[in-house]
Amino acid sequence: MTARAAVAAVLLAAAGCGGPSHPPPAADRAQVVVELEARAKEGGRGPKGDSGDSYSSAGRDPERAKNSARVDYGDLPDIAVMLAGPGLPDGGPAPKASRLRIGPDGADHRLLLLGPAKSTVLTLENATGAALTLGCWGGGSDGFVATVPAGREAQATLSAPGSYELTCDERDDVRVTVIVAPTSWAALGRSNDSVVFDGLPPGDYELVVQAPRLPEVRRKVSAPAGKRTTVTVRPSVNEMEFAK
Amino acid sequence: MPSLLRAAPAAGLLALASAVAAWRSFAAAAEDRPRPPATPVADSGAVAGKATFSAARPKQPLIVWLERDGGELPAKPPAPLQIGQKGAEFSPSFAVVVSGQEVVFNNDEDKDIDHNVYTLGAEQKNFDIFPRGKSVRYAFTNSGEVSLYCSVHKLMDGKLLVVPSRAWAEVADDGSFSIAGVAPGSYTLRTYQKAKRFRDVELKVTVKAGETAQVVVEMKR
Repeated sequence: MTARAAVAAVLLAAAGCGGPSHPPPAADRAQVVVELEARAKEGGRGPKGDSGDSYSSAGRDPERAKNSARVDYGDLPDIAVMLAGPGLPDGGPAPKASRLRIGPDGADHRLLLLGPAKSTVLTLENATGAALTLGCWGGGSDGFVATVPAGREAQATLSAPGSYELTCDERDDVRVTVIVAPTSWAALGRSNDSVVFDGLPPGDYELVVQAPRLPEVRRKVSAPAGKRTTVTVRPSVNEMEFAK
Repeated sequence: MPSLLRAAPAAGLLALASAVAAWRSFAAAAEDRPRPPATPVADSGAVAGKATFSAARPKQPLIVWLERDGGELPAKPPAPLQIGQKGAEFSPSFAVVVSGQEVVFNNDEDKDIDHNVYTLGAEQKNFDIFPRGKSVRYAFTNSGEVSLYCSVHKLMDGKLLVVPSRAWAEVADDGSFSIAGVAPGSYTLRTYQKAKRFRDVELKVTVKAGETAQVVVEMKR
């Protein structure tokens, strides 16, 4: 399958058309379907929804009332699904460009995904009324700092695979994880949906799933020729070790 | 989009005010922290220095700390650090804790609102959901950054920096810092930026009894 077809497959999956209904792989190729189930223990008492009425009625600063917004684990966007391993050729569906918009209400994503190629571009749009200074650094020395004037865009590239944190000098609420995938076999999904990697060379791979604010999940995956391998991943707080 | 143009500066000011409040909260918490003596005593030394910056420094904490070559000496950890959760905010939202120092997360909400605490980073732990009036406590031992989250509230987060010993300091606005009460020996000085804008620095420092080692920490991009 060509790279373009693989991209199409992932887009179909993201639209809810992936999984079992996806066509089977070619006889000499492998297919990996990653089903994402993001759930966490619920039951905490407190204000429901995003209104923050409980805090507002207590006379709190309305800006702080938004703090009561609850996590909806059934609708988590921006989950990065990646395959790693020796022998993976280029041609996977990893995005060559990503875009972050920062407006008056903050950033429009908590996680961005980029492919590993040096030509991948991260576009930063400042839709606020003031200049923003954005810093994006990983665990190593790779990163950038950019000042984006109000109403303007800036572009940056990140070449070293890994996880970066993007923060803003002027806005403490802007904290975005930027992931540069280890291979081009990477895609974004969302909870209770699936991502399909089609046209893979048969082999053993490591599946890495990263969701904003949730622990990373790593899983060994064997993908034989001519078969669909389905993996269910639950990036969840519940999977974490309880503190003693 | 005139409404956007009107709203944006106000949002920016609110965000700036929030950042200043968070910084003040951190600074106030810093004043309460147990600190080593200000001057070197006979059997210990000190490290003092200045951080320089190749570009504008953000108003975010910059921490320097020492790691002892060959391992840390046994020492009693500082008193527990209390972290509140009122208003679905960790307070303080950032703190430095010494390895082995207990951190107490208090659900001090004034209404029946439950919270969870879980951590990612240097230590991944889950403290489950606990109701108003309850606390959970834990002593982190792995050095590094620990991110704090609540599984219930999606905007509730904070950070801890776990350092191996009391030999740490916050870099002041003028770039100065000092660490006293340091046992003689060879150390690596490291930096931590809550919002990273420069390459972190590692410096070798030798501490001698009764003396203050002077260092310059060059923060560059």
